[in-house]
Amino acid sequence: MTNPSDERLSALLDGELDGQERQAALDKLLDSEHQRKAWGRYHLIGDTLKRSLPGGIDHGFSSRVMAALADEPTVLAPPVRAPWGQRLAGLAVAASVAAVAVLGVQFMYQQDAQAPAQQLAKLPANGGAAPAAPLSQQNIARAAIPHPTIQPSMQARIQTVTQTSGIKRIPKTPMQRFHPRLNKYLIDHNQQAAGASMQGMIPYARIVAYPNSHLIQLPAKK
Amino acid sequence: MSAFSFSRLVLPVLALAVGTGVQASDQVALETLQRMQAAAQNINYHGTLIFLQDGQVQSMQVVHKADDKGRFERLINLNGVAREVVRRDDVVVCYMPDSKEVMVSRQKFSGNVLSKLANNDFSQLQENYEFTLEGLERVAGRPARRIHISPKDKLRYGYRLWVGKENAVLLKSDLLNEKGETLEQAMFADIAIVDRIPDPLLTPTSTGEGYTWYEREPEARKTITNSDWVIDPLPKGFAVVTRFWHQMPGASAPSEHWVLSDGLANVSVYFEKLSDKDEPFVGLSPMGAINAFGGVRDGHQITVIGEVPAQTVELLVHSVASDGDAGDDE
Repeated sequence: MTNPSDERLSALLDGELDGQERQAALDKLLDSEHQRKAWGRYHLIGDTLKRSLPGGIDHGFSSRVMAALADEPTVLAPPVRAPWGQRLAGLAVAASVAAVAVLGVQFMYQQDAQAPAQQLAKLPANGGAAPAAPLSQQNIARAAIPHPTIQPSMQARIQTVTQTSGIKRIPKTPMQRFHPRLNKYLIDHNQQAAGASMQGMIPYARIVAYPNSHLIQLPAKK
Repeated sequence: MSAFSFSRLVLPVLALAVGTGVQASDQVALETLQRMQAAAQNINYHGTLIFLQDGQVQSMQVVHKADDKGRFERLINLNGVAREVVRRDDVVVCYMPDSKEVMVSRQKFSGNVLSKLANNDFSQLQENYEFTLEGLERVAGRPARRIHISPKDKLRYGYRLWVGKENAVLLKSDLLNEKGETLEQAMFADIAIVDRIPDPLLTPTSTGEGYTWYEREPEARKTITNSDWVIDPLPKGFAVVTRFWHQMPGASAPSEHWVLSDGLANVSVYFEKLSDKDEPFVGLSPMGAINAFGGVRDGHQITVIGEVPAQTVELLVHSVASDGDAGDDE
């Protein structure tokens, strides 16, 4: 890991920063999308190592947090005193930062899900069997690994975890699936309906008020 | 005066008074709606609209201009993403900064409720709804008539409308579900009724520069005379208002778009050919006050969407069949 700010992020995660250093790192984290993604990855890696992943990651949760953040002033909780030298990832930090971490996981997961083939190809093939699994069975650890900024030793460790722990893939719950076409139908219907609506311009209000398309709920896949 | 004469003489008079009173109040309710529709054609106003849906409150700036030059409207969300809708006569343009898209649509139908109310044709409306004047209340600093529109079955939603007593502008509107619970609320926090609207108020904030524009080909918007599809049975009280060819944003070919209405509620039915890579949308998707239901028939994505209860959109999807192939299900 050569990027100094990534090192600082890692230190923050490990509870090695205090006072102003911590505040500066948190500010940077909130400002930088790259850092948020990295933060999410580090947490995911830590959780993977500790095998404390939930059965499924709530994609909708991060979207809701994002929507809520957009409407709220960002309030950081006071710094949490962490024991020095604690080396475990996944240390509890301020609640708002934890929310950012979930966002990070979300960004990372989406990004990796979109280009899994190339990213998997970057994995060191020392373990042999690991990269052969089909995408649909990909586990969270493998989705999490592929990023050039992760140090090789970490990658190797995770690959070991991958091979031995047998973590199940994340089930996508029905509420989180998104059909891109539906949002367009919603807009189109309301554009058309406004001409015939007793409620005047309210169909337009529905167009502009509706939360971003990724929040649209979809039925269970049959 | 004995009890006998009271019941014989006074009660029938009371009953008569109450009876005509109810009818008179219904009549006032309908006439108020009539005035409200007319006001939409010739009153200028701008204001701040509060919109409550799914437990989320948002505020919007609304500008409305209607004169002999036509009807101009603009609505922009003042919270979060500044989505914006601008209407010039029957052309409606939606600016979506979040997806960097602009959707241009030409309204193909308009006069439904309007013309029925204008022509004093309340019969279809009264088959499906009851109209009651509930009294006078104050909204956005103005006296307003409160009107309750109650559906006669569970295939449609109800409404509670507050209509300005003086100008007949719709000041507040609640959409009520099958249980009479509020699904969606829109209310002016303040409203200015003015003689003229300055042009800048109607100019969109967004230029749409660098956005993807989806503009419908006019020739693709032909009315359908012979469809390959049938929808049978229709939910009670609903009729097909119009059918036309329609190019959805991003779609390679035009698809059929049918519009159904019961006089107040509108439902769209889209028939879109599925390609191999398309993942069909099947089942119910509630989106605030709007319900959508998807199904697959004969290699087509059927999407029914409208401000009606879930069972109505579902019923419609199950009623869709390709012509001559009735009863086909996925």
